[in-house]
Amino acid sequence: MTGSAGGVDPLAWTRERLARGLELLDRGKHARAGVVLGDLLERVDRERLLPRERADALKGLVVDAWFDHAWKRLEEKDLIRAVDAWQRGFLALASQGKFEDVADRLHRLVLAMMPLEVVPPAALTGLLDAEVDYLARAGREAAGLQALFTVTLLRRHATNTKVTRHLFSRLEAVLKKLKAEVRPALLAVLVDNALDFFEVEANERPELAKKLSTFLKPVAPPVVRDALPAVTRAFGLLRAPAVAATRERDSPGANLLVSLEAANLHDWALLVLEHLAGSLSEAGATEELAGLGLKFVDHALGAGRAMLAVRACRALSRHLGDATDDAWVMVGRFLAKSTGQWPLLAEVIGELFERALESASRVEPDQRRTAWLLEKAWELRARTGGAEPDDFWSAVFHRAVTEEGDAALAKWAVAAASTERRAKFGLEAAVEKVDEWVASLPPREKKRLPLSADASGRRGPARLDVRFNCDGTAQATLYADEGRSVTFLGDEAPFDHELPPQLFGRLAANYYGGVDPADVVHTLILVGRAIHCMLPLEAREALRDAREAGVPLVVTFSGGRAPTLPPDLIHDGSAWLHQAAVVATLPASAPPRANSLTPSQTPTSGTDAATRSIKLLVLGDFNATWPKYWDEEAQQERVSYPFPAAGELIGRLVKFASERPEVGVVSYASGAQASKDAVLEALAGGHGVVHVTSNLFHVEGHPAETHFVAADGETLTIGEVAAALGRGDRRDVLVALDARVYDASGTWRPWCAKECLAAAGELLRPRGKAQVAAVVTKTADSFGRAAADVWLRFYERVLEGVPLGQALREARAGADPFTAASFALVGDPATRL
Amino acid sequence: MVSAGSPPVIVDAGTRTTRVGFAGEDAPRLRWPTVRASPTAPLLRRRVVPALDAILPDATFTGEDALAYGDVLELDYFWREHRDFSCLEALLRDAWRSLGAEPEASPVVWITPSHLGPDYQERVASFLFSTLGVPRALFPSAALCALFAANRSSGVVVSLGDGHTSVQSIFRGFPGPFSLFESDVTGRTLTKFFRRLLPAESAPMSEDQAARAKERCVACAGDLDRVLREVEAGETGRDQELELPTGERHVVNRERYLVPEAYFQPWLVASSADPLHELVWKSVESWERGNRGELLEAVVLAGGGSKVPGLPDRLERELRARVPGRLGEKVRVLAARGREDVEWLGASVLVTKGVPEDKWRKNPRPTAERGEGEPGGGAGASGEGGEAA
Repeated sequence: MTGSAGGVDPLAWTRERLARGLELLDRGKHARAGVVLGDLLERVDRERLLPRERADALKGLVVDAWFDHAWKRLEEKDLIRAVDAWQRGFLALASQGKFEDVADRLHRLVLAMMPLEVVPPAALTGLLDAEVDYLARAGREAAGLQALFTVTLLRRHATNTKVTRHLFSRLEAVLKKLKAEVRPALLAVLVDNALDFFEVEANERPELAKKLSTFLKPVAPPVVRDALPAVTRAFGLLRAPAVAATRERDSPGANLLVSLEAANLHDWALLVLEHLAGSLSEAGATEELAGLGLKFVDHALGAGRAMLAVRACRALSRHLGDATDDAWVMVGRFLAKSTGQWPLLAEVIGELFERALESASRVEPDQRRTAWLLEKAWELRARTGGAEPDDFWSAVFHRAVTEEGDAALAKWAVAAASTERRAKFGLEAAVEKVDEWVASLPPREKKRLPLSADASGRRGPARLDVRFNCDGTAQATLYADEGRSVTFLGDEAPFDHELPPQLFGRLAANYYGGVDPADVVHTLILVGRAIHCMLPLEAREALRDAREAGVPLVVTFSGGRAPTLPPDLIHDGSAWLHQAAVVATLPASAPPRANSLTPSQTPTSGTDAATRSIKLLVLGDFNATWPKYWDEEAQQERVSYPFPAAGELIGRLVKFASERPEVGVVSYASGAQASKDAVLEALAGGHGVVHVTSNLFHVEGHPAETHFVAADGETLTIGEVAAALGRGDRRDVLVALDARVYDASGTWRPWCAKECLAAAGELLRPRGKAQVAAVVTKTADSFGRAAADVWLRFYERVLEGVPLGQALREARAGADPFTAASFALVGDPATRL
Repeated sequence: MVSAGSPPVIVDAGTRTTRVGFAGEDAPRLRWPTVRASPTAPLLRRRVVPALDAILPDATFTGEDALAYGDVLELDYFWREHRDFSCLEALLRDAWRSLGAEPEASPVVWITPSHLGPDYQERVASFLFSTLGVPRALFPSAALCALFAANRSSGVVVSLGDGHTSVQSIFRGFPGPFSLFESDVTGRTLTKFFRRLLPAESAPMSEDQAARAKERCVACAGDLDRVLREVEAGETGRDQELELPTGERHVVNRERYLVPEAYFQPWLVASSADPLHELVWKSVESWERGNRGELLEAVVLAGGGSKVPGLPDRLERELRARVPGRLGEKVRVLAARGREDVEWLGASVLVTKGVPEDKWRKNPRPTAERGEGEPGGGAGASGEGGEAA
């Protein structure tokens, strides 16, 4: 059978023909291979011998074979057959409508041909044009220009002016087109590649600078965002022309800055400013730089970005020195007007004082500048309370400690005083005094201090939230403890995919000044994309890095929506998570709260035992046993036992609690006595911990209506439970929702994360006097001895005063992954009882 | 006589093969396919990236080099392109280069096919003198050359070429005015016939490949019916294996004998021409009765098509059967070894024996214009033209 696949297994036939054709190609039988492969493709298409996927794969193989063959022929300097083979390959691709692939192959072809002397420049330009044409046919004209201006191309062919000229003319055409029709991705590519072109053609740089200037001007913010990596490179590469152009009216640097600021991309703008500062200072264009810098700082302050302005001032100071005085004063004035910015203001004032000191200590002191700086510094200082000692820092400490007990002043002085400054101004003794003073403060006052300082300069624990948003960005926010309120220290603007491992370390370095990152509780907040088993890659990397760094970690999900996280993490090979981190959800009603202690600073057991009297309420059937629960007859009759689930657990729990002096009262309601009234009364009894083991009937869409069934047949809704808790003592309550979940139709839901989290979120809504501080719940149906062990270990740690998050993490450490992963904490993991 | 200096170069531009060599030698030094290939004319016409062509070298391939690219480039054949001499120019220049001679210094003997008239000769002369700048040229008739090679002055020349089949009888050096007969059963016709007999997989086989395959395997059967019967009976003695373009092997047996049979049974190739032996007889018949015996004594076979094994015997037998009376006994087919070059050889013999000076056509262009030091050959100094003999 040679002529047809009829009567033969098509797969075998195509395989045989393909093998034959490839063999012929290997043997260099060009024409014969062409016949065999051409015939094969034609029949596969015409007679539909193969399913579509296989046919596509087959065509791909044939195309690859032709291209390989072409390269071999080229190596043998058989250009004619090489070209023929390429044409065949391209023909096969184009006949399938894969124009983009054609363009891609053409691109690679051009790159490979660059170094070959046998290839005339006209051919290269022609191929490039063809590539663009094909991309246009594929509807990817914009991306096609990536091909046109590739780095390699331009670099390798720098000596060939003809080609570069051609490319440059194409570039210009595209630039013109861009104005009308902005294509973000292309812009980045264009800039990037244009740079390479001009890197080669050094004499063209001023020309490029002008062009950059003209086309950056009208682009829209999203475009700028995409083009940023390239644009920032631009200013690295184009220093000299950028400087030249900056002096002109329409400088690319100024334009770019304006564009970036208009796009609210201040951080990028700062980057560009830093680039520009370098180039301008090298060129001695200090006036221009100062003007640019002032403008930038002004814009940053206008946008309320004081931290950015300070960073800009720092950047400018490196290059401009004295010329940034104005900028610093401008920032200081802004900070003095705003509230809650004392640490920054302290830094600015300190900077001004240092500048004044530096100016005064010069060989030829600039008395006028020194006086001006001191005047401004004192002016700012006066706005914060006023003080005028000889040595500012010494005076601050002295006054704070000895005279007025100005806790606030001491607070920001400590915060702002770097190690260098302490050494410089001899403040070590003052710091010690501050420590003594802080120690002597009454607890209430002490608690108001945002940062506790010690003699070593280490700051106290804080909390860093890294938030992964749905759109792929991430955001880090640092909170310092200030009682129960949240103090915002600073943030990083959304940064695109620039995530740990450097993240934690960098933030710690920025905001803690040498503090060990291990002292910071890092919270990973996964929003949106974490739902439905889709952990973003960045989050996974963050988790991994955190694990490797040994950083205490809390994984938090916002909005209580993380129904599938634990299994997902386990299946994903991140089983370490159940040991290393606490998985918690963060309902909208419970905003992140700063914690005052890190896990490493856990108080030892028994220190506060006498003061911690916890009342434990257990709701569950003390006598319930597993066989009873699994009674098939009862299941069929849909008999719901009141609180039947974990008889063993309840027994052990009651025993455990009764052995602990710190558990003041243990009460439980189970069996027939657990009527609705009895349960509500017990709930209002001011218990610190309420452990509920029950059947929970979930009402979709109405979590407040989700209910238990009491022994008297009455339903006990979550809303009623929460309200009953609110009638109790004014204490934070920990609810352990150890429930077995059924839906409205009475069907058991073994994977109950959604339901339990909804119920927990409902419980966490503040009501009445008391509020539920946290809920420990299940995300899957795990009961029995292993789960009971986790509960007991958890309570043990909680009673020791360990924060809930850490307690749960440690409690789960010994459990099997499923059991461990089924526990979730809803609420602030830093809460302690 | 030929003047001293470079010996004349004899050119036999056949449809398929061009033979070039120096006069006085036994065989042409070069036997090149009369073909040209230009990289700018790729076979794959449905080009998707025309810009790739710019990579191709700007050279022109001729002869075997051109054929080597027959699978990817389009080939230009001199005779098929309406005798476009540009096809031939590159080939001849290459040939001169190979011979180590200069066209401007070498007289040329151009073997002229019998069936082509003075127009063709003029065109060749123009080409030789203007384009190649040869100093002088001689245009002997191909049939006459073949007869010279057989050392006869009378006879019938059966020229079986690739593009042309003709029969001409010459009596004592004089070609009869009505003795030229042609047939459209040519080598190329047989090649097509051969391809048609092969399975469908052979379709992509190039013409040159098919022609070579045909030359390798065809043979003329003494009795075709008997051969066919044997093949049908399953005898494998006549089988020959042929590799098809797809790489598959195909056994040919009856095809081998059917193909040359078309010379004697033109209807096989849908031709209304007379059979070969009939053509020979007609050519002989154009002479007076008394001269026919002398003619039939030397039926000279020439051209590549005559190389088919068994063809001379078959032709002789068919002729004997056709020629009436006792004349048949005189029939003698002369099939010399190397008969494909017999015309070239005849020209070589002709030049060696000496050609009167006035038979040569001289280049009308002044020597100075040609950049040549050779004296003579003034404007308008053309010879009388026509055949040399």
